[in-house]
Amino acid sequence: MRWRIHNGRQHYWRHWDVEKFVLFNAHSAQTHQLTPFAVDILSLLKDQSLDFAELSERLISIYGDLEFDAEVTDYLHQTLSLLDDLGLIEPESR
Amino acid sequence: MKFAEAAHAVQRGYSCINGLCFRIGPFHFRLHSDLSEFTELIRRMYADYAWSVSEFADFHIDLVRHAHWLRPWQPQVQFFVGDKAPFQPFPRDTALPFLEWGLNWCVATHAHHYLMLHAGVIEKNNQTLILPAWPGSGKSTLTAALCQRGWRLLSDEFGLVRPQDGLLAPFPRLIPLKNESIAVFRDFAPNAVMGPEYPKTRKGTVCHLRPPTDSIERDQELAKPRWIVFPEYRKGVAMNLCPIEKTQAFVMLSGHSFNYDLIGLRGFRALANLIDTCDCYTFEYGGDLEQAVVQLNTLADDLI
Repeated sequence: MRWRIHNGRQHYWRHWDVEKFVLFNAHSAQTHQLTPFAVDILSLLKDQSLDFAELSERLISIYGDLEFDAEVTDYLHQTLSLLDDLGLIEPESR
Repeated sequence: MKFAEAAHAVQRGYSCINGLCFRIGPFHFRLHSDLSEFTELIRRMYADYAWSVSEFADFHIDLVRHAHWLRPWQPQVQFFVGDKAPFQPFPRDTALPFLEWGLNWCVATHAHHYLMLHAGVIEKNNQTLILPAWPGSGKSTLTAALCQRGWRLLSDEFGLVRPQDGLLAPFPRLIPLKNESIAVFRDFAPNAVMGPEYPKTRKGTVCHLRPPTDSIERDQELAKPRWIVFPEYRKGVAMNLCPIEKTQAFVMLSGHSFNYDLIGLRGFRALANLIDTCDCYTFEYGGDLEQAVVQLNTLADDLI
């Protein structure tokens, strides 16, 4: 499954404190507080769709020493699912 | 002109209020009432506001007698905005609290060109302190107390943020003090002008404080935001003014807005810009109003 940013969705950001981001989704008019990890995923998907393996690779290149063990893999799945539920990303086939 | 002049101009006396218009900050209200006993109370509590006879009005308010067919012996009053009656009729002897709640309703449901915060707003030295809080947090009492110690009242209820420039519009209304805070405030400011006490309203006993004359007369003077302080009164707790992260302040403040969810991107930008420009704190206090005022004065005196 390939993930992408929801087509045509505009997001607006504010960042004041370490590790905390605020995002406004102009399509849903909802505001969300996101972790840097979720923000990095959105940034990676901004210009292209990526599958899970590609996304993992890109995140490893960002975080350097990140080891994709079961815990991190599970966390990435959870974060993708959360971003999907929030209407921020979607599977490319949808 | 002041109320007495306006009333005489239109009515040669004022046995009832017949279509007089008064201004509070950016809003003009035209008031009509056939309650003869209400006129003297309005004259006293609204004495300092700008009244006129024939001016454009944003809201046309009728506060008129109403007879309930089941209880004709219990005099009631109906509140109309234009031809709409948004509330059930209420007892005639609580006309002032209902007028005040009605004015709140008018603004809260119509003024979406502002980002509206449920907050006390006061200004000193051209720097504004915003006090957003839930009902029962002591917001009105604290706001009223600070206004008796040199701060200008913009509002005890509505923080009106202009999205185009982030400035705050004054809306200096009567301040409704409730329950125990009425006696506390009378001790704190014995010379303040206060209205009658209304027991057994839906918020308990309510008593209105007339804002300082200077605050009413400066109701067109916009103000720059500087601090956001979330007050919480808890009996007996030690006073504590504590800086908080801006992200936390943003989340808390969005929860204290009447219309953040309604006005979309304009609201997000206005709220975020407000957080950008303000230092943010929580403030717990436990009873000594004078000490609380001294503590918040340290902000304006650049002692923090």
